[in-house]
Amino acid sequence: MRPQPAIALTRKDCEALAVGIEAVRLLRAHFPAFYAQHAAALPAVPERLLGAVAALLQLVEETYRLPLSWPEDDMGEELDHCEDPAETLVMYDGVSVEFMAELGRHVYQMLPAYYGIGVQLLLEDGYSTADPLRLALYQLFQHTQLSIGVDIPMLLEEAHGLPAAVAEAIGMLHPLPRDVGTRELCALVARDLPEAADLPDPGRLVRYAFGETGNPLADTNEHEQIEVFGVHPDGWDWSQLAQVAAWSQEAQQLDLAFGRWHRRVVDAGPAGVELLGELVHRHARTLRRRDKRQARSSRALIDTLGAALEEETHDDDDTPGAALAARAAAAPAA
Amino acid sequence: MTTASTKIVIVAGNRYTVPAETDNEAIRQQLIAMGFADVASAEIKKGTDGEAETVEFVKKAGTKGLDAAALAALLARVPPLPVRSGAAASAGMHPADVQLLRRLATGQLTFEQALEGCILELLAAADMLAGRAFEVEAAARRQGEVLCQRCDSIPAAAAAVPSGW
Repeated sequence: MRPQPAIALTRKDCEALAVGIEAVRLLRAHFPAFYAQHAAALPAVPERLLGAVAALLQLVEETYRLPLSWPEDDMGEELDHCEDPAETLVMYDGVSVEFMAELGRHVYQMLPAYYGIGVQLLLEDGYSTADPLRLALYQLFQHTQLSIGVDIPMLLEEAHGLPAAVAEAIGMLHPLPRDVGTRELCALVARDLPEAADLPDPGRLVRYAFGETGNPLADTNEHEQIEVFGVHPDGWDWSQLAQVAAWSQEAQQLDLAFGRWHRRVVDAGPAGVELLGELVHRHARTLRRRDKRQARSSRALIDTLGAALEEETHDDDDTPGAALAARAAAAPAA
Repeated sequence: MTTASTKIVIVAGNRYTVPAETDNEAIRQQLIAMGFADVASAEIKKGTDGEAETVEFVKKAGTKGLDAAALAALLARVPPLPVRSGAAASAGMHPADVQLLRRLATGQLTFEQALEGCILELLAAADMLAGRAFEVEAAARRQGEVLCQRCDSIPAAAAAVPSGW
């Protein structure tokens, strides 16, 4: 039998083809109807495999409302695509092996867009913010668990473009006490913010300013990750598509809502800053009063139960459990 | 039996049959890589024997001939003609897998056929094999560089051969 000639596949060829076929596999797994109708019968040639990569990213963005990081060419231009993903599949005339191999970063993991405000950047030299909303929040929460760890007067000094009157108003805001419950406080403050009305967890709108929402796509951004940590943000496994999409939608909502809140505070000038301070402190006082009431109630209950226990130890006729329950039931409501 | 699809390799008077596509330099490199350094300087004389092409490795006088059995074993391991340097990827793979990869490489598979054929696993295997081939090349290059450095560092000595030789 005549032996078959060897295959002309270099490592780069293998890498490039594998990237494209992985994209095809993901297309079939996540968009089976589209795949069956438009992709299954296409030839597995490099230009169609590039089409599969682009169509995959496009379908994820459209179907899951999950903006992704797109591959760029040497000129920084994003990979082009048609409006219709079916047309995207067949739109390319050719692709280099090198470019195809580089697409692996966008195929072997999901690279969602990040929407964080970039709090960590403020820790770096040369970075500051002139956003009066952020600065006011940082001033108010500087001693709490949400403290960003930066000297606020210095931040105000570096806030070029911030009107002096606004900077002064921010500097006058009285910081919250150290032990205030920030999670509850943020939730209470957000109740009075029209921008937070449609959010699934309104309190996150306030925590967004601190990068403390708990949503990984809302707590950092790509620029910050590269500048501060020297790496691109994490990619995600495709099996987490639904979860990442949910995070992305909330992060986008937070980004937009915070932008609207920011605009409102800017437009109101120093008065807007003062109103914010009043709002935050009013709810902080509410929390403190509630905490004091709860502490008193707890003490009263402990005293009542303690007295019952003491009495019970001298009463040999009744069972201890029944007597304790009877005393507790007779105790005044907290 | 020899036909147009086979090639006869002649070394030290012994004749061996290999696939016609087998590259002469690949045979030589394979022999060198396996420790038969004297083949490196041998000349290749081509001819024909009936329909078959003959390739004779003519070594310089004084070099030791190869053991016939060892050579036969070596030649059986010489891969077919690689089209490119990384083409050794197909060596060691099942013929059906090689066939599938060939169809992929020549654009004869659809997306669905590629997925059904577990082509990702095959590409990973091919990639690994191609990687090994490159590692061998790189090691050979490194050895060559070391040798050149050593030669560079040898001090010049008076010529021992008569002038005019």
